[in-house]
Amino acid sequence: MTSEKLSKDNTRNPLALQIDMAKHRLWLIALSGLAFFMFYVLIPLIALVHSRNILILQENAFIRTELLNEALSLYGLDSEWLSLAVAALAVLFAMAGFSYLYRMNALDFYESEPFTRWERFLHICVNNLVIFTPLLIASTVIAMLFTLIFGGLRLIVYLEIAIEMVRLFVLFFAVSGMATLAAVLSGNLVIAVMLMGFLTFVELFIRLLFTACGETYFTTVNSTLGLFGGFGGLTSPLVMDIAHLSGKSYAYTYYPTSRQLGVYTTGVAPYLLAMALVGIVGFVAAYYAYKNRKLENTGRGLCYPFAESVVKIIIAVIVGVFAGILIDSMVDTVHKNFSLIFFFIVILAVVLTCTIGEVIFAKNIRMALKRAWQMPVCIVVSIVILYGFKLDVFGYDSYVPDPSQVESAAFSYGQIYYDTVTNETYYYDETGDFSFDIGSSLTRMHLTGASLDALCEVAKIAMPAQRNFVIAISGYNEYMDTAEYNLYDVSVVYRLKNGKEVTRHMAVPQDIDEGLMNTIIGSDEFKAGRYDLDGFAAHIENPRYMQKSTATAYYEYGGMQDQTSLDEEQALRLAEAYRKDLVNYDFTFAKEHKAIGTLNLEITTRWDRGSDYYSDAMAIYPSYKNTIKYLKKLKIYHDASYKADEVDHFQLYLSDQTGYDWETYYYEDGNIIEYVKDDQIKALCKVFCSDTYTGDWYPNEDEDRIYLSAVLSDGNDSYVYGYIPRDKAPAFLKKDVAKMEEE
Amino acid sequence: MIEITNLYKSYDGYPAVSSLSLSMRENEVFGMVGTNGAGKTTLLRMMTGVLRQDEGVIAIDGEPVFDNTRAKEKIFFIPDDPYYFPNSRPIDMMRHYINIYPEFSETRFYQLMNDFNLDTKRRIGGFSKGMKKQLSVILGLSAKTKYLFCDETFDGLDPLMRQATKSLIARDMDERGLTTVMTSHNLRELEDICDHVGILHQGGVLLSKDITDLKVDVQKIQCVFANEEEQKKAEEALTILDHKAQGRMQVYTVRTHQDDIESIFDGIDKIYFEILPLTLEEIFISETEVVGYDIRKIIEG
Repeated sequence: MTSEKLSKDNTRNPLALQIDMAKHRLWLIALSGLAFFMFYVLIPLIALVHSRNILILQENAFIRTELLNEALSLYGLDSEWLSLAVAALAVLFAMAGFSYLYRMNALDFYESEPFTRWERFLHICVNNLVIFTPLLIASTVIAMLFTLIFGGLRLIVYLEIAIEMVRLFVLFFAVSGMATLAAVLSGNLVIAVMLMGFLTFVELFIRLLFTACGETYFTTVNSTLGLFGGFGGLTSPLVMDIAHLSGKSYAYTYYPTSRQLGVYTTGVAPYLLAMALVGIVGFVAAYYAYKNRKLENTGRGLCYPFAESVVKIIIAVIVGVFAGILIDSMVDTVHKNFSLIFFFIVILAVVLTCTIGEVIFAKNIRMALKRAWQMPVCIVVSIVILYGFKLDVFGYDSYVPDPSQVESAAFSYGQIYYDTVTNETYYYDETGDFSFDIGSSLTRMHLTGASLDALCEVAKIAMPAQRNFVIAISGYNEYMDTAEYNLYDVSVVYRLKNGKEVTRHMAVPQDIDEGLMNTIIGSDEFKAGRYDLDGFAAHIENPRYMQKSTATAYYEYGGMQDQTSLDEEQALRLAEAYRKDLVNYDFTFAKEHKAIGTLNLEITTRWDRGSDYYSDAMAIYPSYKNTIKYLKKLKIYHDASYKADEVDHFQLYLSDQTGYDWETYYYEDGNIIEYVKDDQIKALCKVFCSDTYTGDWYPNEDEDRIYLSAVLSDGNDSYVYGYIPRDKAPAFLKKDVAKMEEE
Repeated sequence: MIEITNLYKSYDGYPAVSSLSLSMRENEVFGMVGTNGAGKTTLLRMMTGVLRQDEGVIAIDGEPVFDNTRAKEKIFFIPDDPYYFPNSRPIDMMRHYINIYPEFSETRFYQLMNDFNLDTKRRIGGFSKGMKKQLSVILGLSAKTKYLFCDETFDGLDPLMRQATKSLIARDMDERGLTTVMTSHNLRELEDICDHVGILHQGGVLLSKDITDLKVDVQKIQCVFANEEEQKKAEEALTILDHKAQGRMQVYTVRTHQDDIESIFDGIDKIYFEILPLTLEEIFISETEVVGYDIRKIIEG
């Protein structure tokens, strides 16, 4: 009797082959099934039942809605845990499918069968999808069923769960492609797993490498270079997924609307397409590697000797460069052009990496010096990269674009975070409307024309000033403030006409041409960005938004704070008052006037998801009559100085060991002198300056100060921290301080 | 028919098979013998399409083997260390092969399993090494492919199983024209089944001949001559490959046809004369010593 499974022309039945293959991978099916059961059935069921019980106890009137929200948090968009689980399964499937390549007896078995390499490759890859896809679909159906049972019927929710299913499928496909490539390039399972790690993270490590180089050797780098900011282009699927999840461009909402899903889908589509593309490239490369693979290379490191060299060289250079950065940072030779220990460490790191790599590939310590000629190559490349950054060969620290290349710019006092410059978080309510909350007002600042020209001129001075400052303070262990060097710490963002954005951190000398700075800071564009009163007003004037939101004004003065809720009219009037006071504000004004307090405006939604809007600190100056008048009307205004009847006593700490003793791990109270007599309090109040925000651009005051705190007689023992200029201190205070200093 | 022409294969620059050419006719048993590292398994793997040769051609019925489904359908490979799916049973392997080989016979499989007293539903992991080899032979014969390649298959089988396996192969050759290629360390093992034998040494073919031709051409004579003159006369007439003397008893291995030997010795005054059967080993030793190799080292390992 001959086989009945074959078609007439004696070709093997693909479905029968797939079923047969699946039968021999039951452990894989069981493991996947278990994973899906855990993530889609067991954990969600426990969570939903528990939540329902809690909501019933709380007599919550919106049980169904809350449970719907809970179900979405488990099954909905961008689940990190599901991403990890699916990626892990993809690697497992690929490795298991091609693990026969690592044993000669299994190779004899499979490769002697009447299949071409293409057919064999296709069978295995398809079989992975054949096993995974039904499990994913079934789990998604279960997810929808649980959502229906607990949360009720809402079609948009099921659409969200379905979109998530698509995302997970694409992720599986993409990671499978890369894992398959790793599997077929390798000679054994350990190397395959290591190669998968290499392929997944090498591009990320190279980006980290250049980021670390930039942050170490360049002096005008902003605090982050946007490592994960936005969609950075093609990289490994796992890294793309992590970047997508960590840089989510939508705020998690109560439950989705079609509009929100539309926005999400538009946002995630490029990721999915890129991931799919990487997956396809992975599979195509894997097939060609598999087709041309010499099976006698089973057991060795990588089956293609050139691949071993490539991997080894890349890793050795990465390690060499990181070693150089590390040693430069440790012995403070970052800005030194020559250091013997630097060269020694880099060479040592490269040599060790190369030798260890060869030993791992050959599984033989005697092969440590195989391809030894690659070591000097790696050493030279590492040093060239490091010196390229050390000497700033490409002019990063001196880059100032020509204004004609710039679309617009933003300028900020202090250091900014890159991802708060361009990222905007979106808020969605249940009606589907959205407004935007700006992480930093800089997204609203667009300096053009004269202010842009002036900014570029300032940058030409500030960039070298920043470099000189960093070099000057290198080697000092304690933190050195730009203010101590009479510099303003500033940041700039250039939005170039070619679509790129460039940020720099720089130091503007305090004696810079005031005309240039006035052109920038006095401009309407600057003020519109720095003080986002338009954005605040836009929130307030959206009635549907404000139905669920509350506006609050906070006034800080001398270390204390008072606040009040604002209705719509109050909020708009306060914003308008400040807008009027801003008219005369410019650099000269800010340099010559000390702020007496700060105003912050906040809007929060009713269901307590944190602040949706929070303004930057807005300095209040004595001449801001309109704002002060309105703050008084709102009863939150206070003078920065204190009257004697407001203070219970002053405290002066005599011991500079007060605080946590890091050697004995014991908190010492130290010696405190309290001034409780009325005449003492009166004398101190006259000259006491509470620590207060002085305002942007106010220069550093180089005066000798005595620091102490005032305990208020408000019934709350509130502390106000501040200082007294030594030359204005009363005699009794000077005597006590002199005694402390002597001791 | 299997044609191998100018085959070359190296591992990391070291030649495993070099300038190897062979022909294997259909419906015969081709035996390959050689020491470890001679290239037997490498050659067999190339013939099966597992490895790809660096140079040369391997054609099965005129078609190249590597990556060729049509050619590979005609081959069943029984390796030295057979592989089975983890936790599988013989019946699982049978079901797998049914999907692969067009002519696989379930009936034959069950019959052979029964004949060899192997349980189709017992885990293969619990089988002994010999049982696993038996199973591999059973699966190979049940596949009913045109060619069967066996890599040191008899090593590890007990004498009874060896004989049974040889009988089965012989029967398949008779019934359906099976062609078998087998390798072994042991020339004696191949003697009673092979039609054609080749010796591989250091990647090349040292010798490749039909056994019949060998046995006809080479004879072993044991005799006692009447006197030295008669001995000299005989030695001049014969083509002597090997000569040993044990007292007056002379033992010759000669490359002369049996009829010619008899007619020569009819004219010789002798006290004792007998033509003895030669083992394959003795024939090979004689043949290769002429070439200059000490074949004992190869055969005896």
